[in-house]
Amino acid sequence: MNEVETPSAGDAPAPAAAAERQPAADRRRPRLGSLAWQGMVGLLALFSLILMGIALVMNTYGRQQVAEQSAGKVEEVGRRRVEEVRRWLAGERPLDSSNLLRLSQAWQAEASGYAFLLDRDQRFLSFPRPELVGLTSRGGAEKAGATLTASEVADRHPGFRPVADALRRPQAGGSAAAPKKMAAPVHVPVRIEMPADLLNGEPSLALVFPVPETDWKLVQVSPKRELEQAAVRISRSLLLLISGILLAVLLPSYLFLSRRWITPVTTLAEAATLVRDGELDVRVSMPGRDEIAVLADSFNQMVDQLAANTAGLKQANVELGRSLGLTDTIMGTVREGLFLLTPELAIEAKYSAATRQIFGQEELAGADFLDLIQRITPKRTHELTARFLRLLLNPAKTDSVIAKINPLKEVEASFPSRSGQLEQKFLTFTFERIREGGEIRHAMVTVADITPRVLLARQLKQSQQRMERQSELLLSVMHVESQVLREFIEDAHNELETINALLREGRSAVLSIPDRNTFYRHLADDIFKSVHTIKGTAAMLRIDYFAAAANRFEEKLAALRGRTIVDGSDFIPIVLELSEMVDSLAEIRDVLARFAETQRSLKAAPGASDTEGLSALVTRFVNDLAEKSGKKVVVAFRAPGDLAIPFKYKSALRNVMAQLVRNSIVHGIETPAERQRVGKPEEGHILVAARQNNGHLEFLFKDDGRGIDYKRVIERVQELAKSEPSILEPLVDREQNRWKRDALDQMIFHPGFSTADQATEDAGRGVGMGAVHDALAKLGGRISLRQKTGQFCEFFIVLPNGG
Amino acid sequence: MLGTRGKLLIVDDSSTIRRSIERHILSDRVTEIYQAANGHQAMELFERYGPEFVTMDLTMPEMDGLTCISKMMALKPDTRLMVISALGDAETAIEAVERGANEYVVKPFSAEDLNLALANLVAGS
Repeated sequence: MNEVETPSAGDAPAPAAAAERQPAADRRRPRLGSLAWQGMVGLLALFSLILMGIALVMNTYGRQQVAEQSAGKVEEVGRRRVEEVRRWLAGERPLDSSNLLRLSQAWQAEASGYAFLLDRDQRFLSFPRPELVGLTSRGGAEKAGATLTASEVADRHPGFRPVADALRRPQAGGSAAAPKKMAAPVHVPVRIEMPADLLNGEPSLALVFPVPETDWKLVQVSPKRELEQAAVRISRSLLLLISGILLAVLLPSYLFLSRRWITPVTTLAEAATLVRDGELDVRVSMPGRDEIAVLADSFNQMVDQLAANTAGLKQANVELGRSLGLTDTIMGTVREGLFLLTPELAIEAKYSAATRQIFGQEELAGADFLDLIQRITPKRTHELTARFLRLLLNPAKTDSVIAKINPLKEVEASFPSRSGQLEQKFLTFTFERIREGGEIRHAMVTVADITPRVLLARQLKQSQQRMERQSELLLSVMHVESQVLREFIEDAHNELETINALLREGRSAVLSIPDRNTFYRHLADDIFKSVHTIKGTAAMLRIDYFAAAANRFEEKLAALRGRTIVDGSDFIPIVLELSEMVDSLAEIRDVLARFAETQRSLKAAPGASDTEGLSALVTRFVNDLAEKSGKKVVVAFRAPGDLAIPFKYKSALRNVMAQLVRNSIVHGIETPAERQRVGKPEEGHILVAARQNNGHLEFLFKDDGRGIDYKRVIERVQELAKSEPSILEPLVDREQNRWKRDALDQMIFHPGFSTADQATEDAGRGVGMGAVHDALAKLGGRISLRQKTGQFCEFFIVLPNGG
Repeated sequence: MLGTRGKLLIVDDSSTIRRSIERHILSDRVTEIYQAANGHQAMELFERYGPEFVTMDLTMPEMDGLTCISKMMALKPDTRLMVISALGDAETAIEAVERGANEYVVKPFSAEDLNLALANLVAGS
């Protein structure tokens, strides 16, 4: 506590200390002490006012009174002189003229006027200046009557007339009988105003005293001037006295008042200044029970209250600051979007940093939530959200039901990304209502980006579907002849490729075609045929999911064909469906390959050699195909039992062998009837031989069919030569002007040699000897042909071994 | 509404569901139980007995649940009504609550779901 004590007289530390503590010079400070100065000035004014009042009163009334008092004094003097005369007479000192003169002169020497004696006949017995009244300078006349009477003097000096008249009046002389009766009578003197006295000729006051036990009269004369001077002296000393008294009274009372009132007020003012400047521990201590003390008490209480309030406020501020800080921390840390919605559906100022990130928007405060939703979700979601939020704000609806009908539990939202494309996100919103007094003041909203979770769930579902498909496929594979399946895959692949080509060509061709509608219609028809074939086969093979996919494709196409006007954009879903089917087919292929591998290794007896495996495969395939094509074929396989075929060759070799077998049975070996006609055994023969030679693997594939049909080969070559004349160069012997047969043999490996019209059902489309050549070339091997038309056809394959 | 006791009307075209609800209801809150297999029957019973609580299937023959809700709420707005729906979409749910439903349960539901929803319904919380 910083107590400001009421300063005792003589010390004033509080203002000084206060001044040190509060150097706030810029603020309006009370001019400390000015009140004391004002008090002092006021006091002085009061003082002078009192003095002026006294002076005025004294001037008007006092002067006369004082003059009266002075006259009283003169009377005293007169009486004293009368007494003196009496004592002289009682002492029987001769009052001769010389003594009287002396007496008279002695009196004159005194300050207060002069006196003279008159006898019963009013003759002058003495006078300060004897010559004026007919007395000699030595002491006057020896006998009475020698001097002048009062009347005679008055005749000469008219100023003396009033005295002379008064002496003649009986009352003046009436007192003559009295002295006998009284021992020490006090005579009331007769007072006479003289306009001019004898001695100085100025206005004077004359007092006539009878001298006891004689008939004499003593006249005491005092000039008025002298009397007034006395009065002035008296009033001056009176003023001094009064001033002294006033000063003696006022100064202490000022000091008292100053201590009692002014200093406390100054102190209070100082304290108030401190309080204003924020020093709330300032208290004033004023003893006593007067108003100042009450004021000080009130002041202290007020400051107490203020301090308490301020402390409360500060605490509240601190807590507010802390909770704001905490809020900021939470808002900055929480991973979810978190914000409050007003009943007007605006976002409140505080929201988590994650909110910004999720919505991809920097400033969200005050943003309309529905606008935000409208921007990122489809129209229907936005409308549902608006309806939902109305229910959310309806206090009659329970929290549990509100939670259940939230349309934004999992919502797909699209945001414009930096690249300008739309970025898809999955968001989840929760809404918590905040009630105050039964009304819903706010809704707390959380939003989280659950895209990874949703995508993962979808992926899981997809892979689950794929697994289902694959196991279904495995089941179908197990009951379908693998060769048939493989062919189906080939066919399906080719069909899909065809569709793809149709679509691709269609896209470029359509630009030059005037009737697009018809064109598209034909395109749809063509595609439909292809898909329909695939679908039928898939169904037959019980590859159900592929059949279903084909069916979906077909339905879309059917819908397209049903339209009056067909446009290019209508094919977009078809393209999508196609790519899905291509994927499915790849999957089937993959499964089948793995399955075939498993099956092969399962079927192969322990220790079975690679050649046995190949032999079994070729044999099976030859038998299958021969049966299917109605031909009789015997296959022979010759290879050393320990011949190892590198794994990387196996798949390719199987395909090559399959192709060679297919080629041989479809194109080479004649029907039994034809063979009989040309003198061949009914059964055709195929020989497959394999051996290791000089670090190479060598394969021989030979049939005794009709060999190459040169006529068709030449037709095809001529066709190809139209666009690529250079291919003729090695084929033609210019000198003899004929085809080089050996060279023509090799043409069947030329890429693009195989054509669709050349293909039959079993040989497949688009896969000719060119593909075989390419597959082997890829492995670093080569293939060559030797044949004799009508006799045999022999393929020779060399592969580097150990590579 | 807290702790109200009253009559319950169960509206569902499946007797299995009706029985299931009947089994799960808190016996001390519900004094009487009525059952309706379709909308018309439901309205009949509703008008006759004025039940405090209703559980309502949305997909029913004759009159659909949403229409029923509107009619019931028009007749007796303080009815506490729970929707049991096979339709999981948000729009149906919002529509039902807009029309006055107080609770919403989607089929298939667990015993726990049902218990909780029924407790909410009769407690009015």
